[in-house]
Amino acid sequence: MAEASITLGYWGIQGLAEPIVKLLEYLGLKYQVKAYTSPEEWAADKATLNTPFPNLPYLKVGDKTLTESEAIAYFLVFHANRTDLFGANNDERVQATAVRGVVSDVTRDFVAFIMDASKHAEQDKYFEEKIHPRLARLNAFAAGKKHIIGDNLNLVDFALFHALYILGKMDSKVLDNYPNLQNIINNFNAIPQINAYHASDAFKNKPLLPPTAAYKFRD
Amino acid sequence: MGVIIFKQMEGTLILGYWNLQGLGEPIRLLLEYLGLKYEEKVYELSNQAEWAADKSALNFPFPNVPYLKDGEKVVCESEAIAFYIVFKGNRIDLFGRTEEERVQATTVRGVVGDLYMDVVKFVWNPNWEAEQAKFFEEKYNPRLKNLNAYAAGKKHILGDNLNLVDFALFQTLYLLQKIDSKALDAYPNLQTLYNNFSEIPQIKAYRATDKFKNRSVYVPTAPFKFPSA
Repeated sequence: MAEASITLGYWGIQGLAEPIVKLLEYLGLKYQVKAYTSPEEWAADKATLNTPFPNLPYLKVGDKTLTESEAIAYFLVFHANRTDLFGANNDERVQATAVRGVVSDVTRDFVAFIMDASKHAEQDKYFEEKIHPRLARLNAFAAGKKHIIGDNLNLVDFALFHALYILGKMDSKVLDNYPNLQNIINNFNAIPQINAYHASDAFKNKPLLPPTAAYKFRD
Repeated sequence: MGVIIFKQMEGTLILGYWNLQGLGEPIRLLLEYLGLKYEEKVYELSNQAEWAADKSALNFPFPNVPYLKDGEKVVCESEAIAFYIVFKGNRIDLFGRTEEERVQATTVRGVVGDLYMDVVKFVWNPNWEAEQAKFFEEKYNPRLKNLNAYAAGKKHILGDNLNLVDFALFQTLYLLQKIDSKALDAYPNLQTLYNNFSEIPQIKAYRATDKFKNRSVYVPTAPFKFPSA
């Protein structure tokens, strides 16, 4: 049976779709990228996209089109027959869902910060009040673990890694006090497919943020 | 070889949350629907010290409200609490009966999640009155239109089978109608979904109780003042 062709549509940046890209790479799925470089280009495709909630990112698989990052991730897990990535048992599934809530909250928060230039001068204060308390808790939760849920890689590791990556770009010292999170990052980076992808031009040449984000990385 | 049957002790579920519907309500609807006995630890917004004290003692890595206590076990994060309840109530069909349904449910959850966040933004906007029409036109109606099309011919949002995501969708549609009673006028399929959900016997019974009717919809000090439940 021929493998259905997979196309990921997004803005040509890492942005919010990067966990999906890393998941595709990890699962060893062949895929193409449709990178939109202008709102007009996207608006034209959006109007004809055969899916109930047209948006970016989207995933085309054969004649099916999916949207919503979490749903795309679920689809890929089923497609690759890797439901272990949801969690090894119900307890892990509940924990992973809780961590996903925490990671979503912190991500939504720093994305709003990045997109609001009026706040950028207050970054240190913002990190102290909003970011570090959550990182401290995540660090405590990660104690003694290989990945965020434990020995087993979980879907939520992909979102967590990307959130910590962006925070590290915003402040290279952000994880200095969180050795357990540094450990999690290193273990994720060491996964062969992830390591290979991070060494690729496809990753290295991809901007992190959209051009509309007036945020200046410090380093 | 003997088989050990583990019998779970029937502990009392305790839902901890503020004295309002808020993020606790989809969880309450789920508990009521599943017929799971639960008590509520109700925190008053005017007494932050009580929650602060309980929060520091809460045995969960990310303490927050709402929380669910089940004997010694504690779960926080709304979605995780819902998952826990589904497992406890032995109703994993509520996640979706097939892989396809699970993916669809996750898609809808993303859309409903965004819709709910926009409701929260509106409610906390000091300038809500001037911006209400714009909010509906730009934020709600495009999503309601897609959801309405998606809901065509369906009993619940995925079809015949009730799904976890129906609970969050119902509560969000309820809030929108509390903001503007005409919010669903242009979306008959969503009205059908809303009515089907509110007619579920356990849901209907719960929403007829004084406990439900006397509870605030949202934070009373928010700029937008919801009418009573």
